[in-house]
Amino acid sequence: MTITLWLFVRRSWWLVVVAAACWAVLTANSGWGFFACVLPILLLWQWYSPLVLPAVRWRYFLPLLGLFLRQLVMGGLDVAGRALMPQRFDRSGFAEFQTRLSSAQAQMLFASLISLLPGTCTVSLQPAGRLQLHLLDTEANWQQEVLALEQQLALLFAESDKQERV
Amino acid sequence: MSILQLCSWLLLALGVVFFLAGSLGLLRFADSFSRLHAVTKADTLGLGLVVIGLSLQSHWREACLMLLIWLVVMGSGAVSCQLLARFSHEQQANPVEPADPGQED
Amino acid sequence: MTLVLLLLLFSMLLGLWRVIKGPTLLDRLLTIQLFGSSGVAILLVLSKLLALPALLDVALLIAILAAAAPAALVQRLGKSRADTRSLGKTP
Repeated sequence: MTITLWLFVRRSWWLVVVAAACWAVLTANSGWGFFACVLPILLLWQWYSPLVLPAVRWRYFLPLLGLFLRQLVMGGLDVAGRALMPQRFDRSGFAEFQTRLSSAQAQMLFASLISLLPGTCTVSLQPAGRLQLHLLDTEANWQQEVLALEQQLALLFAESDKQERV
Repeated sequence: MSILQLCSWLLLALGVVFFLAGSLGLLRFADSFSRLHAVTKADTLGLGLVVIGLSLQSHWREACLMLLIWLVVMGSGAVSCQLLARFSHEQQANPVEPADPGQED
Repeated sequence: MTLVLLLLLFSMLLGLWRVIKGPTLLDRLLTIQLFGSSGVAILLVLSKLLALPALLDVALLIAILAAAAPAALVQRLGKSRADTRSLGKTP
């Protein structure tokens, strides 16, 4: 019983922290009495249908965030530059990319993050990790950025060893 | 005017420039998928800059709320970009009704 | 601040032109996206300008609605397509 309880606490403490933070921000730090009533319901829910965080190596989270923010700025600048460019350009097209990430969560996150990289946008995520991309500029070096992002995600989801074996 | 305020105004102005560039891209880009790029990326970045610029002038709690709003908009941008692209791509691959003339300009 | 607001509104209006002209459905749906993000930006600036923190909550709501709208529309349109073709979705 104690072990079950300990596991439950280990698995769900983050939910309490996130809920409390959201409550503080959304209610301007008031109404904690009501939060005390809501929290048991939340925990009961968590007990019967647990929401588990994916197994992620958190020390790789900050580098990923840095890469992501940098690419976000680059992507915005790229698009803005093209929009303000005097001549129209027409070099857009489709491409396919085979990702080596194996877990479904990592693939979903990868597909979403690609949409914010400069010049690429996910069209569809097919089974076995085949991604269909739309490229703003087919002559640009988009593979490099996508591969860098994939590398970071593989580190985050602890899939780098599988990657080397392939 | 303090340096903080100056930074805030600069970021706001930069954010507005990105919004305008996004709209301009929506008007000028040659095909629908390129327009998708323009709207999602430029607007996400523009909103981020506006949020940071306003956060420098406001209470930390409001700044947190604005950051939360930005995260929601960013997530929705990434996901709906993907949804719209897939939907449109499928529709182009096998259209239901005969395509009306001038489908692409 | 007012100038910022006017410029944001202008960028929203530019999107309207694409709704009128837009050759494909995707172009028109894109404007929802544009309205979501620039509407949120306008509300954020307005809440600062008028010193009305409640507008931030409105902005949050708009952001969530703007996230749901394209998803709902794509679901709905995809369903009507499947009905007319009586075919499942392509895998």
